[in-house]
Amino acid sequence: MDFSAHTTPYVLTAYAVSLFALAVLIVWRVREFKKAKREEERLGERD
Amino acid sequence: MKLGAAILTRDLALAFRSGGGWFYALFFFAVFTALAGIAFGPSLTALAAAAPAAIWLAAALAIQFAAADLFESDLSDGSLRVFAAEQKSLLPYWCAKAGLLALTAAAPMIVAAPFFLTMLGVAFGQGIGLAVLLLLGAPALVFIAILTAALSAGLRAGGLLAMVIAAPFAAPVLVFGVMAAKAFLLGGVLASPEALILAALSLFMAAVTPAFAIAALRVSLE
Amino acid sequence: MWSRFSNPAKFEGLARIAGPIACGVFVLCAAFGLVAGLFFSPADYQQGDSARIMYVHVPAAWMAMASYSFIAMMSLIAFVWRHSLADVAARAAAAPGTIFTALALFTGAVWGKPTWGAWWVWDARLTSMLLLLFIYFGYMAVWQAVPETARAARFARILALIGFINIPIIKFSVDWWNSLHQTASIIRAGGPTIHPSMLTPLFAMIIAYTALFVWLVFLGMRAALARRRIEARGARAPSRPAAPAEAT
Repeated sequence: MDFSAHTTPYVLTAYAVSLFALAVLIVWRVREFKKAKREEERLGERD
Repeated sequence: MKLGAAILTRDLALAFRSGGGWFYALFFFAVFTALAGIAFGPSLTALAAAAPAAIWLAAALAIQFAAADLFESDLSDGSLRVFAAEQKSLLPYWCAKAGLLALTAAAPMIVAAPFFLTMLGVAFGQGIGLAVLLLLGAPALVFIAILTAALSAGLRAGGLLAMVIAAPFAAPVLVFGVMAAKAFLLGGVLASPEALILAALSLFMAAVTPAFAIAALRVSLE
Repeated sequence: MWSRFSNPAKFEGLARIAGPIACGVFVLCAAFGLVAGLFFSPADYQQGDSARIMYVHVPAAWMAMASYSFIAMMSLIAFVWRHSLADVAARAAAAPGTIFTALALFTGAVWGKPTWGAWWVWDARLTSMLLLLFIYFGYMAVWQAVPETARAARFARILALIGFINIPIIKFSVDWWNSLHQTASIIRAGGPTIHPSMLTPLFAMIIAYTALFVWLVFLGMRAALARRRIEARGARAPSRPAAPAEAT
């Protein structure tokens, strides 16, 4: 019994939310890292 | 151990002298049980069905809140630092605090439980059985509460943090406590497997938590 | 080997190479897994297409538990060998672990509704996963609540270890609780047996999620160590120092 017609929204929701949540996590971590690196380099130039 | 007894007597004297502050756990227990009665509705059958859960939730929350400022005064006035510096082990201190919680928070609740349970439609005789089950599981709740109080000692909003940390650890106690209560109320069996597991949980927490709680106390002294 | 990489400078060297490699593995495996899972694997003969949710649910659940095990292991290493890098690693794993757990719960609910009719049931696995989420909350809260990082690390170690000890107890208790309330639906990851054509995308996604975790932990650790170096510089006297001191 294939009821793919009505399961599609569920599948899409699961994938969309997963990808979105992981993307947010990735972007947040990368930005945090880049910010710290920039700060450190700035201080390094000052010394 | 003499030190432990001395600390316990001091704390008990302070608690009684502060004019009823130690009653709060008992008051909370009463208030929560009453709220449960109101929330679960006037029908006595619904109440009796909700009673096992209500009583265990009340006990868990009351003990957790009672432990919230267990270490605050000793931390702020420096006596904990003195104990830690002078004593080889903080275990007597931990025992004293456990005794304090047991006597001021857990014991009054357990004794009063059969009376409050009649508000939830549980016959007094059966209420005594439920109180015995509380007695089996209360130690576990007390030890968890001491551990989370030690982990959050001296922190802002420490009581809330302690509650968040304690929840997953208290869940198994709740699970088996409620199941044991149901086994007793519906099946008449007091020494059910769930009750025995409840006792085992208390013993397990007694064995495992002190070392971690003491370690946390030492960290909070730094 | 551990003591070599407990040196922050050496670690930076390792992370600079290993991090991007992990990122690459993540991207490749995720791309393959998503395409294979969504388009080239068969629909389950019972559940239809909703079984495809398995490809994002199982890796998330797996990583939820693996991340916490990582945190517990790092906490133990920090406790025994005083490697402050282990503390940094544990903290860096907290946010990813929490997100994985939340995703496992969410995708599980979304899978449950069309397949078994309910968003949520208090079965053993779901309940344990929910309590694990709370354990993660508590762990992150301890790092946040204590202003001094070194002290926070020591509290966090204790909490991570006691949490790890409790996980089997939690699992045992909810298993027991559920065995007496046998629900008709037994939630298993995709049916009695997983068809081999479903195993490949599943493994790909599991590897992808693991690689993502590794990459995120490296990023988090490098950022934390950089911030630590920044704070060390700020704490030094304003006049030029003779030689830079490495904060441990």
